[in-house]
Amino acid sequence: MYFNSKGQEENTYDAIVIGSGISGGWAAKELCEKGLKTLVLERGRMVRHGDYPTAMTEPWEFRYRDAALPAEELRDYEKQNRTEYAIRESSRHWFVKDTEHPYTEVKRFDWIRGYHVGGRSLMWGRHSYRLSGLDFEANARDGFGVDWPIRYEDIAPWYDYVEQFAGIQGQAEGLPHLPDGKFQPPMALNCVEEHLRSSMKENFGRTLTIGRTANLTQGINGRGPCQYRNRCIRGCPYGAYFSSNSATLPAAEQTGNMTLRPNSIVHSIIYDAEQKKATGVRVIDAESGESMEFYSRIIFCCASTLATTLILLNSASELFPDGLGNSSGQLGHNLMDHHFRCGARGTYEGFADRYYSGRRPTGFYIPRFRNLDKASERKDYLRGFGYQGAGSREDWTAGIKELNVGLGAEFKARLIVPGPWQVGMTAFGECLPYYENKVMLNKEVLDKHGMPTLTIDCEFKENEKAMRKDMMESAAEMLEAAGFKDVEMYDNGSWPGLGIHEMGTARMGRDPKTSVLNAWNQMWDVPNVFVTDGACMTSAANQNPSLTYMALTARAANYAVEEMKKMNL
Amino acid sequence: MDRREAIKRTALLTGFALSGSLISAVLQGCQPEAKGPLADWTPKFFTKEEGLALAEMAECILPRTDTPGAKDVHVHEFADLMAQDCMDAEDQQKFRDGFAKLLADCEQANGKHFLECSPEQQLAFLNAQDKAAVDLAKTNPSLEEEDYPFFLVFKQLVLVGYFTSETVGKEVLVYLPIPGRFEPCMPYQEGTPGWAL
Repeated sequence: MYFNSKGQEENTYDAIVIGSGISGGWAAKELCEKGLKTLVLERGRMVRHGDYPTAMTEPWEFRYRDAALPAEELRDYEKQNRTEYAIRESSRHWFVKDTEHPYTEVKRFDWIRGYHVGGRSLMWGRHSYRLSGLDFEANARDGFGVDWPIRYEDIAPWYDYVEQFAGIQGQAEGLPHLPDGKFQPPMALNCVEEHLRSSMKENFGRTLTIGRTANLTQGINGRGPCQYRNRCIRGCPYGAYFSSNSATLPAAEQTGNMTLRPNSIVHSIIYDAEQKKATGVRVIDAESGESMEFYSRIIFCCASTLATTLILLNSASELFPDGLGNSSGQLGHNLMDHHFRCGARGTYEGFADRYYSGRRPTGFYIPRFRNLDKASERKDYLRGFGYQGAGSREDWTAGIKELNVGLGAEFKARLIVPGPWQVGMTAFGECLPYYENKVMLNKEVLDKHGMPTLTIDCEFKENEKAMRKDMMESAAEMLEAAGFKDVEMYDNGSWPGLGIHEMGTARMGRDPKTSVLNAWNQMWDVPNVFVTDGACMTSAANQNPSLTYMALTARAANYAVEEMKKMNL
Repeated sequence: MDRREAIKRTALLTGFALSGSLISAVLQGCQPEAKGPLADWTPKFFTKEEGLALAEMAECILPRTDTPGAKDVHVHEFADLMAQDCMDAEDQQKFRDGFAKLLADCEQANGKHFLECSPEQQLAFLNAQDKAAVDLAKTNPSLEEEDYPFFLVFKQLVLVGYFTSETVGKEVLVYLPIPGRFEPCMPYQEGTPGWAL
């Protein structure tokens, strides 16, 4: 492939950020605000804040009522549709067509992606939890994976920093293993959730709290508070949830230092063996197919876990025949995701004279309560899980469940009024870092631009399977103790990728022989390359990871600029 | 209490029996109509006769009372569109076969076409279908998607078509597109409609 290297000067920046999702948006904001001329490369199309075509559309305004899509159209989304919620009339435009962006599975792996400015920050689940000391010490304690090179104290001030800008609503609970943050006022629990919270405290000494999410309860920086429509996945015209589009990219743009280039697929990173550093990136223009190069002093890889690793694997050179920064042989390995879709549900007979108004865009969260200390230690598995759930009154969709016999006037009347209160919860469990869970460069299957693709070989193992049993039983036990009826346990099966928390493959560590990145997300082998998206994760913890990517990115950007000032980069 | 026991027991308790007073209410809504929303309708997927039968069946499931019935909100058109556009060839065939079998079963049970049956016969027939389908689903919890009883698939389509319609969303249920605030636990008058959306 020939890359045009003309116009070197006009293609030269202080920094290049690959990707504009949660991590890339933060890198752009931080680097631009610190005065660096920054080029942000996004492989997908432009999406400006507010450019959300279905944000105000009611169900009856969709041709298929947002309930189905033509079979022909679904064929393009075979893997994205495994989510069972993403590929609908209201949100399919945020997800890639698998027919255009292939990958190869050794075992089922659901790689759910959105290629556009903002990436998955537009349709993320918004749950934002801090990792704790327990999590940063986990690998060192039980010997799986390598030790994190940082501890909670290293990242805590950066959690403070990103939370206040992003706007995380939540309730302080004083738990050491789920540290409190700089929260906006919390959204409220409804009565059945409050009831479960009290029962759990009393019967088990466990905590149930409002799901801590990046939804504003108070406006900040020109973004408005939540209007309680619960249509976040379509894009929020009020800017009430955090996305790159609503928050970080506008801040970066305001500095005048950002050049945002959509439709720019990064092919590889250019390494100069003489200078022993990266000098820039090779880019394919997605629209014209033209190849070009851009140059910079530092590069931030924020393309998302697997896309970043694909670029690094594809950046092989004489010195790094197995991929840039891969002298450890760890690049592509230790892939993780959370396992979930497993828990319990039940109905509650009380509160018949109570209801709610507004559609809250979050549920409740039950922080981890296993393997915290000697008293909560399990013999059958390591690490732990937390639950996400919600209480609500049944609605007409209850009529679809097969166990509800009926038709006619009485049936209809019953579906029009709210049914009994119900609570459902699903656990999100930690997956251990296994070296053999990996991705590899596939030069046999090329995408339409001639780029190699990925082969993914990843599975959950015995520790995860043992944990799932407890995930179901503990949920049922807590519901029963709170007086719920018809308690039902379920395990709908979990495949890596489907949690859309894929992480690892370029892990941080203390030793260049066993890790790709140091404590500053800086590549051991190539110090002016930083990886701050999910690829950097050394262990998975059980908390939703995006907040940690934000904090690590801001921390790494600050470090990079300090090093540049000291002329170390 | 043993958890698995509890699930089995509730499943057994959901048996179906319609009380006498309710039957008369149901029958009011189960009357074939020559005019109204059906007169000018040309189905795309179904034949006209199948379409008319489908519309009447939908009306039996969700009849007009003091609130609109399935026909009032054009559930038959929705079901026809979904079958035409959103099912692949295999599912279309299954749906067509399932519907044909439903009509044939009715013919066998009552000696005449569904549309020619009395409202009582229509209702009795559909209740029997519903119960058989639910029983099948209940006794085979791990039923494969392709073996799922046709009647339940059909009933789902009717429910979705009805409750996602603009009339039901705005006039039957309570419509509040931009709530602006969240009230976690407010007084509720029993029997009043729930939220749309």
